[in-house]
Amino acid sequence: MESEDIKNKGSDIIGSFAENIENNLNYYFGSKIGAVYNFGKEIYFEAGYENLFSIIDSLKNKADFNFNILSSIKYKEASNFLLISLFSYEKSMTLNIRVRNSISYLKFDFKNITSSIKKFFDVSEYYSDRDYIKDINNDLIIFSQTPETLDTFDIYLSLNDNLIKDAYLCDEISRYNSSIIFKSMEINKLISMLNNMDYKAGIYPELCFCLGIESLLQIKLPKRAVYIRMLLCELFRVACHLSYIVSMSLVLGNTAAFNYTLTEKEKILSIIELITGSRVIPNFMRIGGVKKDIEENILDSLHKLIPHLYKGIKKIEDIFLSDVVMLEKLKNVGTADSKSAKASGITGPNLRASGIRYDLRKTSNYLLYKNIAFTVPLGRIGDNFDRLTIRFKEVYQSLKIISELIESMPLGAVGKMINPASLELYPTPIISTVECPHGIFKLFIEIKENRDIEIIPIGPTKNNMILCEKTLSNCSFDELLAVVSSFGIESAEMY
Amino acid sequence: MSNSLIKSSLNIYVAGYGCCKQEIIASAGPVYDISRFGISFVSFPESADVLVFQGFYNGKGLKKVINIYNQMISPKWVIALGKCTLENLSYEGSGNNLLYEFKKRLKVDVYVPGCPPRPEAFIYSLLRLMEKP
Repeated sequence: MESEDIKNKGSDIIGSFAENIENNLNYYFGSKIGAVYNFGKEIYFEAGYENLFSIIDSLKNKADFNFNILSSIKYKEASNFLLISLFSYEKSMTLNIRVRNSISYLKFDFKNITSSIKKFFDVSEYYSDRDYIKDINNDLIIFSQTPETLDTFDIYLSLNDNLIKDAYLCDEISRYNSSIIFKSMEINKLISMLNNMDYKAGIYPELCFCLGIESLLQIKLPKRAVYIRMLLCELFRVACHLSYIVSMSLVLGNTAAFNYTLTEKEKILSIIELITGSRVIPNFMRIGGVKKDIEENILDSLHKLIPHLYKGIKKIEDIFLSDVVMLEKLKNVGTADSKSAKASGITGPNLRASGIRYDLRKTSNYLLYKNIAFTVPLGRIGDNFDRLTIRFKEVYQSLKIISELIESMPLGAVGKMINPASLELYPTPIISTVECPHGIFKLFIEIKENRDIEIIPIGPTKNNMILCEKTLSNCSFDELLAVVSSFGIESAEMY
Repeated sequence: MSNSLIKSSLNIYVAGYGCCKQEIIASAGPVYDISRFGISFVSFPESADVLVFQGFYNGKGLKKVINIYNQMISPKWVIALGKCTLENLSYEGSGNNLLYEFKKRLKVDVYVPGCPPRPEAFIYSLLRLMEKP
């Protein structure tokens, strides 16, 4: 645990930093960059390819910026889209640089770009095409789905007896081109398509999109609508963490925990189904509110259910913690210290398991989490044990939030009557973020001139994969499955 | 061995990933308990009788599923599950939808619509498969 990280926990440093950085950007780079957009925690600007590396150099090394973490590189070959995100924990801000070529139709040499950025950030190589490793790391290949829980990537290993020297998680089957799906779609239909991007907690992409459009149109929501949104978010967070525990218990061979967890998850899913009408894919968010109100009797039954849920989940935790074999497989296995966790740019519970307290619900201003009392749980060393127990702790906090929300649920309307066809959307980029159960989920939304909307999701999965690969290189082969599934990698948002 | 004997204890291989897989895992739990029909999940194609394909695929994922199907020992059956495979998601590099690509290469026995289909629907599809002569 590093002292500098704890200094910033929960501090209110949003507005002033963003303006300072905006001014500094204009002062240092002037005409090298385009207009600077400020979305609270996210700053967006465009830059030419010829100035890119000098800009990244000064953003990393100048004391005024000090953006020392590469958060993501998103490249779409079909639409020639390249977005580089840099992050700073000290300022808790993200800079998004959209790179433009001087001749717009000329494709980027992506391999060259990643190797050039590697001078500043080591993790940049993980974003490039690394299929050449398949020929080097071929002592053992585990194809996707051979173990039941790992379904989105193949694992290429180079082994030294029983020790893993190097590992490569090949995600080629989960790379998907989103431009085919979202071409010229109406906004309401689009919301129903977005929840596929996070198939364990489908409410978050919807929420992220709606928050983005609402911030553009400056729509103020009724208080009850915001509370219902928060309630659903926390319900999905519990469901998502429970499905993580399901996959962990499958891998560790704990059948009792598997069965108990699925039983508890069904209780949550039945409540979600009563509210939204669907168990997995909610399609519940609308621009300006939510689809429908929650009836009082559903809220009552949920309120009565919470103590039972708490007891049930506590029982599952005891099953894990009282079993010596389980503890042997969890403790001090797959340790990712805070330094490497920071460098790979991960967010969410895996970051908090490594001892760095960073949660958008506390640091950002979205929804009304400031009105609710809850704590952000923290791990110590970032091993399997921490990554598992932090999920349990977050589930307890979410249950606490849910009961508080039901007790203080205000009366009133649940949405504004907004016709999506008549929205005044002008051409602009929007960046919107939410804290989803496995990290920070970001949507880059670009509204084009003929009201076409291009959506590019930037999820936490890639960063988790990077850290997972780094961690695996110190593990033995017996620990492989437990370590990989402890990171909770699910790559729907890798579209 | 006759088909009816094999169908009394089916081994399922689930390919793909996505929302539908969540519901398939739920069907293995104590609430829906698919094992009361003698159905169990396997992770090796050689020991599987039924291939369930669902979720998102690109060109490479599609090739892998076809490869898995070829490794299975006949008699074998195929279930297509969910909206992504049945309806509108097309895969990279082709204007055709996914099901069309699959049907060119293998025979689909049962279709299960829904986004995602409930665990009951998944279990019902397997029961229908068992009823088939």
